[in-house]
Amino acid sequence: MKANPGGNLDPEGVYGRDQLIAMLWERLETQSVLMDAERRIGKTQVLRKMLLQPKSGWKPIYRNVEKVHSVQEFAELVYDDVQQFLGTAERAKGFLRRFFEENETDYVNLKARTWRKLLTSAIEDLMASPRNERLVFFWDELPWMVQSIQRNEGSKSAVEILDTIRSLRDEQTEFRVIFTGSIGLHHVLGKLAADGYPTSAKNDMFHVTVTPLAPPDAERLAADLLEGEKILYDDLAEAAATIAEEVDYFPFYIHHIVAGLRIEQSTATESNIKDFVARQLVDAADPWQLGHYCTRLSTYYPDGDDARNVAIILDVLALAVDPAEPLSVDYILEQASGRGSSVRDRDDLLRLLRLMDADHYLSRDTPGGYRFRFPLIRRWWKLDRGL
Amino acid sequence: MKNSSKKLSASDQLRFTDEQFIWRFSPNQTDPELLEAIFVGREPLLQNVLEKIADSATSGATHHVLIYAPRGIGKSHFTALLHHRLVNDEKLNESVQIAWLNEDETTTSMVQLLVRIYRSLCRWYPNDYSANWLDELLDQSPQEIAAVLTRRLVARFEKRKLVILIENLNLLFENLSTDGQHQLRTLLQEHPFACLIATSQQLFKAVTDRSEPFFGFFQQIPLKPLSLSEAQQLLVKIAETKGQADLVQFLNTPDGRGRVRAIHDLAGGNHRVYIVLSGFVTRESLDQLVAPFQKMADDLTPYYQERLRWISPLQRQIVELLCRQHGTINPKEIARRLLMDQRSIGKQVRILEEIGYLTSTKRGRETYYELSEPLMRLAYEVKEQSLLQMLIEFLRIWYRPDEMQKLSTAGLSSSTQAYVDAAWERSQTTPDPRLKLLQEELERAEAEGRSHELAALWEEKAAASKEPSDWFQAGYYFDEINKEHARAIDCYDKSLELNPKDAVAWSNKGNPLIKLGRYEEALTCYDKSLELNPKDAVAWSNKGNPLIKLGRYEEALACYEKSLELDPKSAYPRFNRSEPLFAMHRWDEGFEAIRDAFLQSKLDNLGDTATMFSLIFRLSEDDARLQSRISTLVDLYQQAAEERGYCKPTQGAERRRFGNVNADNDTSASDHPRSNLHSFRTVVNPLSHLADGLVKSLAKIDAERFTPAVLESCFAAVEQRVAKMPEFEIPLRLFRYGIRYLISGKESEFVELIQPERRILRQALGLPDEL
Repeated sequence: MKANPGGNLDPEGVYGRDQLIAMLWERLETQSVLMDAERRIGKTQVLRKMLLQPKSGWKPIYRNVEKVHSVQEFAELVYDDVQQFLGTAERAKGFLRRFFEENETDYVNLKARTWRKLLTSAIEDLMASPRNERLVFFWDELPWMVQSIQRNEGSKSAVEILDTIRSLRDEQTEFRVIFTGSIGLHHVLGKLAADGYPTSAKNDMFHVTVTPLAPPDAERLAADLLEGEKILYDDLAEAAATIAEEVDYFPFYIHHIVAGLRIEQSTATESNIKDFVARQLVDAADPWQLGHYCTRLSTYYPDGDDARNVAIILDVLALAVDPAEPLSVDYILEQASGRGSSVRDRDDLLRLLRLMDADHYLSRDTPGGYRFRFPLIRRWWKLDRGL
Repeated sequence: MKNSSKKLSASDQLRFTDEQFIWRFSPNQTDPELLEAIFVGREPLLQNVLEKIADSATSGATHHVLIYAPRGIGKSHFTALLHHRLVNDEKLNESVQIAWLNEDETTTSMVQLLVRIYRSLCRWYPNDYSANWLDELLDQSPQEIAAVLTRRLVARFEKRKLVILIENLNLLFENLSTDGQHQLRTLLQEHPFACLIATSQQLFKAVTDRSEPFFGFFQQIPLKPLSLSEAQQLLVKIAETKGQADLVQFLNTPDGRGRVRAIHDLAGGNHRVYIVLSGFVTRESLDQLVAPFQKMADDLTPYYQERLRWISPLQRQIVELLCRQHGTINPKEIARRLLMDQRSIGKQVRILEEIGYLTSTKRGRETYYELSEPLMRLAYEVKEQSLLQMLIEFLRIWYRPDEMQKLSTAGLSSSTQAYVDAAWERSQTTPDPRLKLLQEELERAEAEGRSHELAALWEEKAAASKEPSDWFQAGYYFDEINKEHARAIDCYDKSLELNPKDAVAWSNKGNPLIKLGRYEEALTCYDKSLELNPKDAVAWSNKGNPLIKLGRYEEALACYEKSLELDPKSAYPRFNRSEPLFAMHRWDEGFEAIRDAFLQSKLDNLGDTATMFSLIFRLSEDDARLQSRISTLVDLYQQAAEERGYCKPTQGAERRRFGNVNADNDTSASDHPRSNLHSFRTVVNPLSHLADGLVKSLAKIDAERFTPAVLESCFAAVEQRVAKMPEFEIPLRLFRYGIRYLISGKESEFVELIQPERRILRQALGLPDEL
């Protein structure tokens, strides 16, 4: 197998996701799914594998909806997909044309009414039709679309589309969808709520977070890539283990390292691998774009001093003597205050910690302590902040 | 079907005139065979990209690649050649089709992009794609055209892949805007029918910013500027395609390399500039050099002036300052000279780097900037100076000072004379720029571990400086690192011509002579050295080596003893005494010499164990004695290893203690490096060193003088003694397969070995690397 950082993988090249995929098919029997993950974990590849190798009886339709900027576009897209599935695409096209041509008057109001009608009728058509397969929509980058609709048509439209999809799920018990996105839907919903449009649009969905690969899968991936790229090594198992461990078992970075070793024509020794990763972390051009973990703070935590306080909390966690050992909330509070944070009290800190957990910065152990979720990010944070 | 990567034979060699190279070079319009012929340094990358395309075509994967480099580094050459290889690859032809998007066409929407792709397919595959159909389609609405083209392309590439070659992706994305980019990404994600192979002058926001649709989409690969040696290869290849055999030869001389360096200094790794300047290498007459250089300056100046107009006034000031300043400069100094705030200069230089005007290097915590295209200075010099300063410096690098002096008295045109006078005048007051460039390159090569380049660099410096010490250094590196022993001897000769009283140079010259089997001559060199300095312990020790080869064992032994009188702690002669002793069958004394070496010497060397093994194999009279001697040798090294804590003492074995021997690792080299026949190395586990020697001894076994039975006995003797020792686990395995090879002469014996083992064993047996 060839290293392919960023490109689409062959379904057979998606390692270590079979259990997750089986679980997702099982869940889809009863409810829709909200799938999130830190960027570069490979959620789109999970969807592609499901798309290309669907479970018997299911027909997935994958749509990257980041290109959609209006509720109307979205409704048309879904309508089109449904009609394609039902084999009535041509008829549907005619219907759409007539629908708009005959209703030219009061177009603005019409548009507001019709998108909902179009979307609803599409799903109703789908559910009412006799069929051998169940249709499931994979709507990738959905938070992007909602954000874009919010920007172009206002918060009201953005909330309406989410609520409409929610009510369709309630009314049409067979209607299934998987939402995914590289920005957390909770951020978009938070913005809508702040704008006076709270919604419980995701409460009925099964929430799953895609994690990095299990170490044996990551090592197998690294080993197969090293072989596929014909990279020299002294000890394949050791080289693969080093690669996997250095990047916290993220498949994207594993592909990246092997592709980099190939370009540099390096042998996959422990020192070459570690040197390559170290160079990525300190490279001024930030080839792995880890700077985003810092720059996005002001977008993710726009209220008051939150972004600054989050950075201080991350500093405290990055400086932990034993990075594997979670820090207690009280200790974080004390250290953050010492570093000039304006966190008001324990509750305020807990609020931030929960948000940081949802954004994959942190993970929490059972006694309630926190640490960086990914050692690679901790390592980068320390280097970048000069700690 | 032609094999595009084949080398051109003499008969079908392409011939091109200078003018074709210099003034008409445009990669996508140039004969692909010529592009093949002058392709250097990028073959591994091209293969890598071809493999990615093949993988995209034959599996469900889709690769997208972005190759980035400043203007002129060779992106278009690379793309043109990639296209050529793809269309000539019979296997891939079945499974891919290519749309090569012309770099100069502007595209502002997704539908225009789809039309361009389709139009390119019509051009390259007229039987499969109809230009008339496309023309008729253009009467429809843009949405309709986009929908129809999308459907058609997705359907056409259901079973194969479309490779879209895009030059200047940054411009395409800029014109497409974010909406268009979202549409393109969505199309490629929903229908992965195409892989994008793109180039751009730098990385840009649309691919580096996480909020942009194409973030993380491409594998981003920098195309590095040509190194000096790649530039030399390029010029050699150009000369080859022109059929200039004498020039090819000249380019491989120190003077030829000096001229390549002059061009390198101007081109700064810029592929296009080398090609433009390649015509100069043959110009021997000054008038022929100066006039075309001025013509090139005239032709290129408007282009660089135009580029200066594209940037802001402050950025222009920074670039102009760098045009005046030959070399690197940091933002603090730029701010000081331009009377500006350092922070705003820092921001501007970073932008200038991003848009390809500057390059940076880090020295400690400081970042230094220089022009990414040294020829940019033309834009400044043409308007500011009456004589081109670049040309004056170019002449000073091009000609040695003595050549310059001769030329200044020749009858020249007035314009040429003015340049020669200026160059000559400057050479009287400022150091030779070639030496400065060479010194910098030497330092870089050392720092970057490019030790194989050091010899040629010292040779080139010596040719310019005429310093005996530079020739000496060249000799040392040719002998010790590059293993080019004859060339090393030439360099030592040149050093000795200039300084015949250099005892160390005489001694060092003996070493490559031995390696070439010229033992008598080597002996003469050591004698000369010892005449000049009879107290040189290393020369005495070295002298022992040819004496052994000549069978004069007693004399060799005496030389080693003499060396030890002068430097009692030296390990090399102490261990080496074992060799003549073994050769004279004085086995006990030989082993005693090794034991004594472990006790008495500073252990900066652990002896030539490969020779010890080979002597035991060759001279042992029967299996029992062979077995016993191997055992004794291993005992000695094992005991040394135990003493130094590398392994636990063997239970029940009675051993003589070595006592507290100080393992002194000091191998610091002086400015004037001394070499022995065997490179010094720092102290390692003595058993590991012995095990290395076992593998290396394979090279010393003359298979024809051994019967298979004896070879097997050798292996059995070693195996019996070391089978359970971890240090010997892999070496013994390699030795076993090496012996099998020596018996059968068949490389198929290696089949059970893993790749790195095969590599080591082939090296040990002196076999070429596997293909």
